[in-house]
Amino acid sequence: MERIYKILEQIIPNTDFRNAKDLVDSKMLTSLNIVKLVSNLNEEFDIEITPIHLIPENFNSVESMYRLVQELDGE
Amino acid sequence: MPYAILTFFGIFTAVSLPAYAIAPAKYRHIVLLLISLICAGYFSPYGLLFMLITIFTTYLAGICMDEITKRNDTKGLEKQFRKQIKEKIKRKKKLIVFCYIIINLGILFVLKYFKMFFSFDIVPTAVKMVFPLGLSYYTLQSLSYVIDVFRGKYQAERNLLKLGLFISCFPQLHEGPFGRYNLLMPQMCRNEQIKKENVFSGVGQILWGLFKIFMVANRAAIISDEVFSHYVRYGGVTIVLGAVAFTLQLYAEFSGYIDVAAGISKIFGIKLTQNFDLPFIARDVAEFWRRWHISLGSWFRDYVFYPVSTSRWLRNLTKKMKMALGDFTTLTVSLLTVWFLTGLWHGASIKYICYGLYYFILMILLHKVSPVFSKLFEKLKINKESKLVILLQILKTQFFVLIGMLMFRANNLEDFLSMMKNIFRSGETFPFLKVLEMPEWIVLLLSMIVVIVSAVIKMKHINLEKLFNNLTTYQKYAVCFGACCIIIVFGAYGLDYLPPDPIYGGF
Repeated sequence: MERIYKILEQIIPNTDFRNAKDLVDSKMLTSLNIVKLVSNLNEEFDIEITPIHLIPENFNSVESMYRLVQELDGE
Repeated sequence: MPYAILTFFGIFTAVSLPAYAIAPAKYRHIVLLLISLICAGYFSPYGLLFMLITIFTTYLAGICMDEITKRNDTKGLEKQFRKQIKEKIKRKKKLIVFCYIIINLGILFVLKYFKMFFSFDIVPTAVKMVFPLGLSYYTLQSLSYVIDVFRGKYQAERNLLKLGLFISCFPQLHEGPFGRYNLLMPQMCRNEQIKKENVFSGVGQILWGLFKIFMVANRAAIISDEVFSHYVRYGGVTIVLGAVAFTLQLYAEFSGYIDVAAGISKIFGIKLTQNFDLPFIARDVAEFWRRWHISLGSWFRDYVFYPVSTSRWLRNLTKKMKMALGDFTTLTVSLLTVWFLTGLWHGASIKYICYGLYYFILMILLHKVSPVFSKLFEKLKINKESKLVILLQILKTQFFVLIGMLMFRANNLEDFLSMMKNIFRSGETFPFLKVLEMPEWIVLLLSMIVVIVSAVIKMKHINLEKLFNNLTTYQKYAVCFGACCIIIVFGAYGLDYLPPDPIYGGF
């Protein structure tokens, strides 16, 4: 999870990601940010996030992103 | 006849209501489908054939992809074999999507864009007979269904009639909004009986839409038509006011037609996707497009922007670059694709492509400049959330939107550039003011105030629809009757008005 926090802080500095539960719904993470995030997550964890995974539920919180990374890592 | 669509939507709704109410619950969606196909056939007899082709190919594509997945069950297999079979399934499904795209985007391309590349004259009535009602809308809506089935988001629809209704549902055909299968289909197949509260709520929304069209859009159209048709006479402020009038016309008309569509759908218990969310309070152009024509923006985000930006070929292209440059290349390529296609979707001309590319440049600039401004604000200890900063950001956004609207409305790129030049010179203002008589100006200004007040109420998170629904039946009748009277008495229609063609109609 710490690796995800680091990536997020690079993309949107000075944001409280630890308590955020609606990053996409509250428009804190825009589609441009999501694309940057996906590219970084793919690189960092050697996974392949595809458009089917790009739904708000997978990116609304760091916990949900972590679950997605774990799921794709197991495939 | 620009009002034909409204008149016939009214007639089709009135005819379908008793038929829908009398029909047994399990056949109600068939009533709606028949009415929708008759509506599409009435406006474009030969176009209906193209619509039926889309319905059949969408149905077949979905079923074939489902069958491929079912026949190649990977359960219980080892990881290595599972991966191999999944790849095989994906390849087969890709072939189906490819064929589907060739057929359906082929129809769209030939009917909508052919004249852009090959200049020849076609009799307008012939075009009307062949061009299906809502071609761009239902093609993209069907494509979203096929792509979602390909991605495994949901299973294919096995009932051809239900899928046919999803594609052809008549209120959406004229100006959208694009609906998503997983949101619309459960509502369409609920076959809900007509409810009094839905009728009131739907009629209320239809009247609100008609208010915006007849009280605001049609009058603003007179002003913008005058300025854009005789821009050589005008300069400076007048051209800017013409662009403002067009922006107002476009918003009032487009959102008005969407309200009419949403109101009709609501009567049948179907809630359409929201298409506008206070676009004029956007603080940057990206936010503007998240609030304006939302269904188009989200379609391009989900089916163009995300697939392009996460594609393997783009990943491979950017892998060798440094991380920051790689990210920028990904964004540039993805945004360029999205905005080029957005421009092309708006119309078959170079002007619309430039309109799309204008927003592409703005998005790239925004992406590069925003962090710089954030740091500057931090250094100067300026509160980004202060009212003054927000107001300045909104004004800046509307400045860029106005330039975009000027390009969108101008007859061609040359006219747009001439108008931009004319902004910096003086010109006549008197004839422009004379296009509307004083009572007309007063009605327009009062109607605009009503629209602005409704926006302010929405900003305060007060739900006007809920307030209306909480009224007693007699109060609802009174409100609807009052609104009808206002539109009939003060609306801009009839012999004295040349009705403008719906800007987003016939796409």
